[in-house]
Amino acid sequence: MPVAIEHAGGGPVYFAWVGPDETSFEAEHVRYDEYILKLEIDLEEGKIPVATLDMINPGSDWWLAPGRERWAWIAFDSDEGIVPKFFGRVLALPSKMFGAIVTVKFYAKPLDYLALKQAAANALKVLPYYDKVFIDPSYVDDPDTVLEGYSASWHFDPVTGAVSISDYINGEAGELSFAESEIVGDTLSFTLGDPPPRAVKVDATVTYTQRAAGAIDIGRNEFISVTGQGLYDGWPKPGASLGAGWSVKSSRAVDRNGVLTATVPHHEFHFKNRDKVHANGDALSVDVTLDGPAFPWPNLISLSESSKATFGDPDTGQAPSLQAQSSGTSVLTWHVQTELELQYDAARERTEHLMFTLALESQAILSDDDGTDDIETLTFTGADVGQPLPGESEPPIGDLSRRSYFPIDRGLQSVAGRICVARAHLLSKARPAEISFSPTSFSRALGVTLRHTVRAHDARRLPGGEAAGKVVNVKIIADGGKFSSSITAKGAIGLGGSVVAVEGTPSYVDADVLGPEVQLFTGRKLVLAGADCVYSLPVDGVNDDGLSFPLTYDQVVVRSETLTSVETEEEIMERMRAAGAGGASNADVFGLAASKEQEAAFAKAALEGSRKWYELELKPVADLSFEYSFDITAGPLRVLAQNDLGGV
Amino acid sequence: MGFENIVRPFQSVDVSYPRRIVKVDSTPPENVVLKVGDGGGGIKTLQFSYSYSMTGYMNKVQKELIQGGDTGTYAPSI
Repeated sequence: MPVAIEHAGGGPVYFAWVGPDETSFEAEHVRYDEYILKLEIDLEEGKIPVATLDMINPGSDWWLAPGRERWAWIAFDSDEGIVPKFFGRVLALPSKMFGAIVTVKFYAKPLDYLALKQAAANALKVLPYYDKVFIDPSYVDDPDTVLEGYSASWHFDPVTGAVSISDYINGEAGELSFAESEIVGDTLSFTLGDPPPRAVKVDATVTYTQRAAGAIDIGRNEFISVTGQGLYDGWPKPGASLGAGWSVKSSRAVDRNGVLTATVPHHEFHFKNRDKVHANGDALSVDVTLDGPAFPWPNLISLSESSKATFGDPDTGQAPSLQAQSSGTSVLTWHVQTELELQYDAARERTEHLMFTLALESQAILSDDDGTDDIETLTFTGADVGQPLPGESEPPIGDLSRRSYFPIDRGLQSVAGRICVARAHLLSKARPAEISFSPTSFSRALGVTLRHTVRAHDARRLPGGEAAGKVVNVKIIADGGKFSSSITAKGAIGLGGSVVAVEGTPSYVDADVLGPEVQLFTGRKLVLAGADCVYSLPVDGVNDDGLSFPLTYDQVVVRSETLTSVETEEEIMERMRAAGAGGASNADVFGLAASKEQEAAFAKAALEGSRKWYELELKPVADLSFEYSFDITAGPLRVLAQNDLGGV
Repeated sequence: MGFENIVRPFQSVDVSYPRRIVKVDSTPPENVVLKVGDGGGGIKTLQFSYSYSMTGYMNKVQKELIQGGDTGTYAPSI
């Protein structure tokens, strides 16, 4: 028996083969192109609408004929006139195309379905719901990825082919109420599925390398030391690396005392008396040779002196004469003047967690578990926020010298985004109440879509006398001369109520002077988009070694000092002076010297044993890693009380 | 950053500050120490010398007896 009594197109079902461009239902489509025995339109949440038709086979050749129409309009008579209910196309040949009766499936899938879906997805790619920080780059263009942050599923309109999303709980098209008298009695069912999770625990991680560069002026120094050559030669050169992110930007070491170029000046004086007549006592010749500076010689470590005088004797004619020699060894003192400016190139690996537990406010459902399995864990590994995301030119963190990501404006979007994802995850499982029924009115059933919420009333069989939920399935069936429909909805069992933002208490000055974007508001909580959840904000704070960029001298220089050996060179020199440098007792000071040369060698060795050096201790700025977590509070998530399980 | 530095001292505990996660087996980073001249040595010395030499004139004086009963004395002259 055909689904339409009047095969000629008199209703109540209409079927018309059309071309793909006949996307509007017109009067000409009110016809009956095939002899249809059974028809079922199946609208399933998140899926392409499907119409399955059993029809008299128009002929096997017909399916393969070139240019044949593969699109069809299906319409019904209703109380409001003729209602188009489906516009779709055949995607595959019937499985039994040679039988007398063939089953043909039509899909409400426009030719530009992918473009439509992509366009719908692109419109939804907005923060905080869609956060590329937590999107795998290989899935950035996947339209299904966009749903992660929305408590919704795809919706494909069976008539217009429009692609959009529809919320899990709230029907965008409004609520349709069915009184007990409007429900076929034995078709009503109410079941409770698995209880929703009590909470979801989130650990979202981002990484980046904190980078900063700058210079620290260590300043000018002057070192006075007989062992100053080590300081002079070893003073770090520009470009030299000190390790852990430090290098020399500029430096200078000056030998102010000219030790490097010091030479021994040579002076000579000679006199010869050329008078023809001499008196006794006249100087006949004087010869003076000086290799060294004028007396007194500085820093002597050895001195040898000798002299010989011969008195003139007129009796014997012995001429007077005088010879004097001095020789000494002097140690030179360095005056090394230094300047040093260091460059830092900080590179600090950071692993930053955002942790929170979002609880779901829900009515209790008896279950046989012990309550330990109903807290789910979601772990998200985010991108390197120090690198630009795909399609962007700036890294999410902006300034790479920042010590944390989540507290900054962009990071707060990521925080809200992860809460959106957790919220969507919870809400997808927050509809354990399943209501199913068949309306008595076929016309009313034709008006139900997957964007509606339905409420069924039955004082005897439903808790509280009613049950409501978001429509997840609609079936329109015409079988022979019988017409039926079924509606299935999934309802939430929350506690209802709404949440409000908490402004918090300003911690510095009045709120009208500085807003929350500048000063901290203690206890401040924001409302997540959707108005069913509040959350606290992560606040920047010390999470590392305490360095704050740009660095300053006081932050990084632990010590800058000149150190000496136990007995300083000054003490050694003083010991020499007390003993009389170059005198006989020098041997007692520096050991038993067999000669003046050995004495000088002993003294030199003693001074070389003394050391004066410079040490600079810096905090490392590279090759470091820090891991820390912002543990915020979120929720509880308020959900509609579509069903009162305790109702009587 | 400037405002952040101003406000930070006034922040209270009723907010979500970061919590440092330190692994048990992690070792604290070591400071960088620059040492210059700790090897000592490099003493530079100079040898100084001075010499002076002088010779004078002296004529031998013949002893003459001073008349007058004086004992023999002579007056050296230089």
